[in-house]
Amino acid sequence: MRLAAVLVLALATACGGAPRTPEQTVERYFAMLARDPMRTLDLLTPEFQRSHGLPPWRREDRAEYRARGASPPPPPSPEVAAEDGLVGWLAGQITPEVIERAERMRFRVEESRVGEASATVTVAVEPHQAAAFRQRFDLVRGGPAEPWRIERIAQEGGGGGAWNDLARYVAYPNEVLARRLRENPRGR
Amino acid sequence: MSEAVASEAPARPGPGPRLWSRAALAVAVLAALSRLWNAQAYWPLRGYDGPAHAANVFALYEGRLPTPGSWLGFHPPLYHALGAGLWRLLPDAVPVHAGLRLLSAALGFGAVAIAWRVLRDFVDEEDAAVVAAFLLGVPVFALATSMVGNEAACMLFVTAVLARLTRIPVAAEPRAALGHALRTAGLAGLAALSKTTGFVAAGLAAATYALRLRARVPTALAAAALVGALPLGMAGPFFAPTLLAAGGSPAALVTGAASSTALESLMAAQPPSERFLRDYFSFPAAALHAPVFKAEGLIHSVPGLLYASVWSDAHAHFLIPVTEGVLRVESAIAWAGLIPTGLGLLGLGLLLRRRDPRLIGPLLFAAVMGVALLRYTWILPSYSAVKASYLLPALLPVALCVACGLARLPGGWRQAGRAALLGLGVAGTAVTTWGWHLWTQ
Repeated sequence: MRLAAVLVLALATACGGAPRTPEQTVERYFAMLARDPMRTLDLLTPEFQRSHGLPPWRREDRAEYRARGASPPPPPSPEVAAEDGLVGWLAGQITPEVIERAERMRFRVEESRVGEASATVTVAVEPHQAAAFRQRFDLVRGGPAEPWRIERIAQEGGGGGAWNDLARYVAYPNEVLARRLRENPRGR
Repeated sequence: MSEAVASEAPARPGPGPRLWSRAALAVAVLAALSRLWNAQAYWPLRGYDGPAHAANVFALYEGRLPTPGSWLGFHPPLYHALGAGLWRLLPDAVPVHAGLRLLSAALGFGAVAIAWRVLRDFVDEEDAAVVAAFLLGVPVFALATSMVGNEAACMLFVTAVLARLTRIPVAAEPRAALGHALRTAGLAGLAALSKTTGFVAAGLAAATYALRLRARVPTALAAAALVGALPLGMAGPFFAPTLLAAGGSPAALVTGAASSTALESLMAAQPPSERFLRDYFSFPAAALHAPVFKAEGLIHSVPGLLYASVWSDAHAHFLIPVTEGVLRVESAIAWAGLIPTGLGLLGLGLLLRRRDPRLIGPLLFAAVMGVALLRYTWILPSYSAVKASYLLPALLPVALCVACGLARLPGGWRQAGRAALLGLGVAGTAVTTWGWHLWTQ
């Protein structure tokens, strides 16, 4: 019994299907976004987690925090910032609007440039009931045997207004768009 | 002194043999189906600190401990390690958060199974089955076993420890008594590796062995030392660095303020921000007619919010948005919750009067947990600190109180009590099954 358990664990570990190319990494990012958010985590670098700006606490908690006029905590170490960013990244995907729209979002890879240790993949995103836009992924890897991971995301186009902001947020949850959506809550 | 409660319980009433056990089994199956549904249907990672627990699981999935100073970096790693192992086994078709929720459910059901086994030592089989099935539907239990988090793991191992404390072999040879203590110590270690609450169980277990085996002082001391030291040895290496970083303050460790300044600031910013003694002696009517934390007076009432968080989604993590319809249903459950609360108080009175030495450990643990929670709400004057889920490790003593209260009811009342508990188990399961509140908007 114990031997069987060990064999199953070893087999599962060995078969863990990590994406092999930058395009596969991007495809997996869109497949897991909001539906299985934990599986996006090993597609992203700590630098990415420090850059999207989503804080780990909930929006209503932040409002209470601001209302109280409490002084902000001191800046965390880079490691803690990445870990807190990871929590914020997960928390930022689990609103019903994001979940629903992520399921209806379509995308196709337009261009891909792959180097030894870095790559760029540009995709055309077609959201549900919002303007299409482009999303560029910068990926890195530590070595030829290492998996590709997303370090940076940038968006182009998509038009203005809350619905388009929401569509872009669904494809790349980040604090800049989150703030804009909070200030103009029609799209939320 | 050691008389069983069952010996004073009235003869078993009921319409047919094992009818109540079969009904209880049906309620338990319903609860299991509800958790299966919730695991995949409830919005990913919603729940008490869901994303932060997920981050800890991810750290262990990557083969490292959570970063000290991160949001929940102070939590011990057992649940998250089990979750990381499960993640490696799950196919892509099963979302990781669904697997983690099923893990919580399995651990929670395991705790109730242990409680059920212990209840059969104290009340008849039918009452034990009814109370166990009822527990599966109590909203605080149902929600904790529908979420990603380490509450259920701690509940399972603490319940296992407390169950063993009811069966300490007082008359056995020293070798057998120490063997019993060693197995209890291992379980207490697992509890401490699940949550800091496990240390409370370990301390109480050590004291209980010392007390129960006091007729043979060397055995008593050896058993107590074993039960106290092994959990420290198992979980100490994880806690020691965090404790040192907190300047040796266990309170800071428990609140999380020890490590995460962001968490500390956030908790300090949540209302009411200040506690007064009167907060511990008020019970607003809102606890029954609008059992959510934003209702009039609840933020300032520790007993009121605590009661509300047993019988409803008082912190609004599940039944959201909180509409009038949701509030009406939650209020109905909160009112109905007065029945088992009354039975529990009756049972507690009976158990205290009987002074059954087998129950010293579980009852003492429940008392210490209650006091610790009150202290916690004083140190951390935030509504998030007043959560009944923190008391889930006291599942066994609560189950014993309710079961003994039920067993004491006279014939017809006892049947009505069984029906009420099973009915509440079904209602609680229905209310905590994801989605109904969205369809009614």
